[in-house]
Amino acid sequence: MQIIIPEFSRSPYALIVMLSVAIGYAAAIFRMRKSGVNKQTIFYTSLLSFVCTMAGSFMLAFKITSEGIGIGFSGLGAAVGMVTGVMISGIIIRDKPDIVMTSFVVSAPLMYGLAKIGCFLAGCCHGKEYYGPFAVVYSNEHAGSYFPIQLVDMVIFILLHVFALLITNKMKNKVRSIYIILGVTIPIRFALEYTRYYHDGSLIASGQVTVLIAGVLALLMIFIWKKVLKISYN
Amino acid sequence: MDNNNNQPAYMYQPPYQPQTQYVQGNNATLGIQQADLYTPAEQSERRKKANILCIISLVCQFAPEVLAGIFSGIAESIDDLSSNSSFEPLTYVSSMIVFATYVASWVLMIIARVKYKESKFAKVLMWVYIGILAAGVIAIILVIAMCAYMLKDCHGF
Repeated sequence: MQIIIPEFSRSPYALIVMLSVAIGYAAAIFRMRKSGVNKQTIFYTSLLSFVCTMAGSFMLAFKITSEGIGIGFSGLGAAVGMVTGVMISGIIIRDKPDIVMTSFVVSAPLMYGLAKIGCFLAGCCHGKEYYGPFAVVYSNEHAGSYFPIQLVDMVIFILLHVFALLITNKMKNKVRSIYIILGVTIPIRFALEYTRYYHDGSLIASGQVTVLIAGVLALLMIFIWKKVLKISYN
Repeated sequence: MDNNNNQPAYMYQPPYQPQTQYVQGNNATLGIQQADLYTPAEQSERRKKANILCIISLVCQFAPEVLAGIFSGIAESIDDLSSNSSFEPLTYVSSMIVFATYVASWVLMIIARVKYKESKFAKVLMWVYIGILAAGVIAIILVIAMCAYMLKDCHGF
């Protein structure tokens, strides 16, 4: 059984990515409201994290060169940007910063998982060549038969979102729950890189180095944020 | 799992208080509620501080355009001299400076809004920035859509 993806006259990729971000933000806002976070805090945090997400997503893929300005997107840059925005906002406003940070960290896998539907339909970041059951077949510029890694990504990251929801609801120590979510997400994202078409078969490819750098950076930022805000649960 | 009695030391209020208030580090909330209690001299001082933050924020908001132009010019002149395709370290550093300045403008505006809620300058600035951001997002979407349309019609050019 194969999954055949037709060539779209207009790629739904951008629309799906934007919808995923909107749904992720809506989920984070809903969670913050439910936890009694001030409306002002929610507004400014969402605004700043959105700006930082945009800046972060472009920063790794937006360059001023002698040929002009190159534009692109980076999912990892966006994730680091979002954490940066929430971190800065928490330091400025100091209204339930741990709950605010948790809400966004929990929503991040949901955003990523849903955005993968866009990748699946567009054919970008596809898997290695594969002709077995559930192989995904494209007839656009990515023409070929591939392992449906985008669908695997989507399912795994939505499950990660559910897992993150469960542990943050159970644990009073929200910072620890953030560490656990990142500690589970980073190795999974690292392992999934092995199935990508661009993975060269080496033990650690360049894409995986980027994942590790972004992961360590996020953990370091959470650690500094916790220290600056002197969050303790004693 | 953690003990339910473990509460963050800095924020939670007893359940019978419907209005959320935070004592430590939340100058913003205190500032908003006590704005009318300031003496005219204090109000003037606060307005001055808010205006300084807003002006620095404005400079940071529009500096990226100027910096981008300067860095592009430098990159182009270096290319002319060395005949290389691009000067990578400079482009990365310039991109980082441009984005850091842009983010700083938002951070300063939000500090002004949160700490000096009564400042009309900060309020106007916030809506101007939101307007520019919305226009920017729409422009990016239009550019991407236009590029996709042009590439679709471009058969081997």
